[in-house]
Amino acid sequence: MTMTMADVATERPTSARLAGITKTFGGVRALDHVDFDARPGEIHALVGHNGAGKSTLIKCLTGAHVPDEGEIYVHGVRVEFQSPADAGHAGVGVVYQELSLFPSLSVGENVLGRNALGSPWISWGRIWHVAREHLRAVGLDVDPRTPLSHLSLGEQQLVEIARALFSGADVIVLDEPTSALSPSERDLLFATLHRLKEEGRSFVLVSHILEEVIGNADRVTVLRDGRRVTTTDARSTTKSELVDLMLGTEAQVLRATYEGNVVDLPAASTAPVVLEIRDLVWHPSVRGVSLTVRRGEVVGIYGDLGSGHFDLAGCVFGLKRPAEGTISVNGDAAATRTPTRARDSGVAYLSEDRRRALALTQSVAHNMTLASLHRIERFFLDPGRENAVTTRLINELRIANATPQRDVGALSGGNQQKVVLARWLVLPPRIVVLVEPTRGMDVGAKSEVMRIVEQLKRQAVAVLVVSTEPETVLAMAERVVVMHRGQVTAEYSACRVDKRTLVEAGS
Amino acid sequence: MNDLSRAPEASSRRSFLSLLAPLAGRREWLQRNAPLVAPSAALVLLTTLFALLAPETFLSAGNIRNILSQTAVLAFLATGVTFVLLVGEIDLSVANVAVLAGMLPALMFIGHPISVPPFGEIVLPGNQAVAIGAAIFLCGALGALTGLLVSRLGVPSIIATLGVMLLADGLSYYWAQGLRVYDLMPAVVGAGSGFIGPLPTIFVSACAVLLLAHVVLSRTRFGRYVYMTGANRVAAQLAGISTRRVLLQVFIVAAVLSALGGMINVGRMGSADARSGTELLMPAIAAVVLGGTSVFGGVGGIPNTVVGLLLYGVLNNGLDQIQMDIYLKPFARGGFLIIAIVFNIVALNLAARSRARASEAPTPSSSPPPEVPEPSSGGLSS
Repeated sequence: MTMTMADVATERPTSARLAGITKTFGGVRALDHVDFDARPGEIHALVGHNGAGKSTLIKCLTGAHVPDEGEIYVHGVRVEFQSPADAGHAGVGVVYQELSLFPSLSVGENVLGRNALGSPWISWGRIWHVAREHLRAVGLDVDPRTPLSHLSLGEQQLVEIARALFSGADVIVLDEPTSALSPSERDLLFATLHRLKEEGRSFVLVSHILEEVIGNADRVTVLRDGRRVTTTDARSTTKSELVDLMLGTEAQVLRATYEGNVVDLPAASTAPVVLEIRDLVWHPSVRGVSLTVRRGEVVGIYGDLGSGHFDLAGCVFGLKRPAEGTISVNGDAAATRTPTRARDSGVAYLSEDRRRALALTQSVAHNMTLASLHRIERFFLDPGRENAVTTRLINELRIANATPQRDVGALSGGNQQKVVLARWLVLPPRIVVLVEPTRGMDVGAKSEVMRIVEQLKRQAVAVLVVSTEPETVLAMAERVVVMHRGQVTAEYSACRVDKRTLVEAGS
Repeated sequence: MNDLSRAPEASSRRSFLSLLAPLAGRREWLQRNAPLVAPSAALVLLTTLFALLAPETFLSAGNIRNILSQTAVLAFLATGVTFVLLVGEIDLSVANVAVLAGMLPALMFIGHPISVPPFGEIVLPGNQAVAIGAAIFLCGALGALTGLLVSRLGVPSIIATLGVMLLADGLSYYWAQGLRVYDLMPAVVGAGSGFIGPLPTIFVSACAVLLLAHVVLSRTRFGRYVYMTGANRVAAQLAGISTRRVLLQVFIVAAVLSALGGMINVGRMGSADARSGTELLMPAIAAVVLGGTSVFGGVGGIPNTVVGLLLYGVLNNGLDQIQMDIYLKPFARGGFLIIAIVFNIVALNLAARSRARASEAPTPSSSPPPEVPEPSSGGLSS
C-alpha cells in the first residue's frame, strides 16, 4: 500500500529509492531523513560540501552502511542490505574513488571478478569471450588478456563499470569517478555513461566538479549537513546556484559560513623568496604550477581531492620527483631531490595521513625527535636531553595524555597530529608544508595549530597550508591560491575573500 | 569473530596476566615489557622442566659451560640477524658468510692459492692480519651487495640473501677445492678455544659483541633509525631519514658480525672446511625470533636475543640430557620450539590487546564505543 502511494508521489518508476534515511555515528547525525531516488535511464548527481553526507548516503544505498531509520526500495521492492554483497545481488553496483581492481590480473579476470561462471572449472575461452562483450559495452576495445596495469586510469575506471555491468547491476554508483582522470579520459567516461543510460541503466554520480555535473547529469540532489536541500533539473541550474545551495542560504547559515569566513587578505609580502616553484609537472595530477612563497608568509592552497595540490606538496618535500619544472629553496634547485635533502635544506612536511607519519608502536619521544635527531644528539644518544626536548614540546603544544615514554599509538588523533608537528619545530625549519593540518580535529586542537602557524610566521618561517577545506585555508593563510585539475585557477591577496569564492574557483 | 571470542576468554586470560602482575609490580610495566617477559618466562619454565627431568646432569657446571659455548658462536650470527629483523627484513646468508670467513683466512694462512679469475692468484702465506682483514672486507662487501639489492632495487630480502648465501657458499667451495684445513693461525685458535681466566674466550667475546650491539641499538642515532625504519618505514622517510642507507648499513653489520662468528667457529672446531657451519642459519634466526624480536620490525632487541639464545641453547641441550628414544629427539625438539613460539605470540597478543584497551579508555575516539559492555575488571582490581 505504501509502495503504491510512494510510486504515485514520485510519478515515475524508480530503479532505486531511498526514503527517510537517517544514520548516526557516535551521537553525530550524518544523515537526517534523506530521500533520494534513481530512475531508469538517468544520471542523478549527488553534490554537497565535505561532511554533507554524500558518502554516507551512497554507502547506505550500496550496503556498506545499514541505516538507522528509513527504507530502501529497488525496482519498487523493499530491501534491507546487510552487506555490499546483498546490494550487488539486488543489482546495485558501485565504483569507488579508489579503484578496487587487481592490477596484476588480466582485464578479463577483473571484469568477471569473483563472480564465477557457474562452474567450478575455469574455461578461459568463455572468460575471454564474456569479458570482451562487457568491455565492448563500455566502449573499451582491449584484449581481455592484457594485464590491467597496462591500462590507463580512465580505462581502468571503465573496467570497473564493465565489472558492475557483468555482475548484473542496473543501478551504478560512481564515487568521484573523474578525480584522477585526464580531460580526454573524462570525455570517454561520460560518453559511455550516456550510452549505457539510453539502455535504461541508472547512474548515481557523486562529484565535486560542478561543471561536469551540470553538463552530464539529468537531475542533481544537493546535500548539506546531512539533509537534502533540494533535487532539481541539472541542465537548468548554474554552478553559482549549486554553490549557494551547498553552502546554504538561510540567514543563520549565511552568518555562520559566509561572514564567519570572510577574510581581508593583506597586501602581498615583499620579503625575500624562500620557495620558488616554476612550471611544475608531476604526472598525472600536477600540470604546470608556478608559485612563490616568501619569508614569514603563510600561503594557502585550496582545491578538491583531484586538484593535485597534495602531489604538489609531495614534490616540495622530495617524495615525488617532478617530470618537468623546478623547485628551488633559497635558490637551490637540488634541495628537494630526496626527502633527506629537503629536510636538510629546511623543508618540513606534514602529510595528510598522520598514521603514515608515525610509528605507532614507538614512544612519543622517539617519534618526536625523529626528524631532528641529527641536530639534537651526537652519535651517542643522551636520553636526558631527548627527554627534555620532548617534555618541553609536550608542554608547549599542550599535547594531552602524553609523556615522553608513552606509545604514540595511545594518543588521540588530534594529539598524534601535534606530535608530528612538534617533530619539525625542533629544527627549526625554513619552509613548513602542512597538508590538511586540522582535518578531523576539534575546535580546540584547530586553534592550537593556528597558534603554532602564527608563531612560525613570527619566526620568519614560510608556511604552505594545503587543504580541501576552505575554512582551514582562510583561517591561516594571508595569500590564497586555488588549484583545480592540476593548475592554479585563482590567486587572492590584498582583497576580501570568502569561502564561496574559493569553492567556486575550485570547482 | 573477534567479538564472539572476546567476552568469556578475555577475562580468563586477563586473570592469567594478573597472576604475573605481582612479579612485575605493575601491570603497565608488564604490558610494555611483554616481548621480553614472555620469552624469559618460557626460559625459566623450560630450564625448570629439564632440571627436574635430568637433575644430575642438566644443571651441572660442565653442562652449563657446554650450553654457553655452544651458544657463543650462534650469538654472533644472531646479533646480526637481530639488526636485520629489527629493520623489518630477513637475512638467510649469515651462516654461509660465516663459513666463508672461516675458510678464506685459513686457506690464505697455509699459502693455499686463492684464485680470483680475471686477476690471477693470491698467495700470501703466514700473514694473519691480511688474511683476517681480507675475510672481513669480502664479507662486508657481500653484505653491501645484499643491502644495495634490497634498498636500491627493491629485491625482497629473502631472495637477495638467498642469492648472496649461494655466492658465499660457492666461493668457499671453489677456493677450498675440497680441502679441510687443520693448520690454523694462532689468532683464530686463541679466539675459538682459549680461556680468559676461568671463562672461555669465545664466551667473553660473545658477551662483548652482544653488549656492544645493545649499546649501538639503544644508545646511538643509528640504532634509533634501525628501530624507526623497522616500525614504520614510510614514517621514517616522511621525517627525512634515508631508510635506504639504514638498510644498507644493517646488512653490512650483519655480514661483518657473521664473519667474526665464522672465524671463531673455526677456532672452536679446530679445523676449517667449506661445509661445517652452514647448519647455523636456522638456529640463528630461531634464537632471535624465540627471544621475541618481531619479524615485522621495530620490536625487540639484544636483551631479547640473549634470552632467545639461552632458550634455544637449553632446548637444544636439554633433550640430550633426558632419557628418551634418541630417534624421537628431533621431533621433540620441533615440538618444544613450536610450543615456545606459540607461548610468546599469545603473550604478545594479550599485551597488545590490553594496551589497546587501556588507550581507548581515557581518550574517547571518534568511532562509536563498542556495544559490548566491558567485562567487570574484578580479576585485576581485586
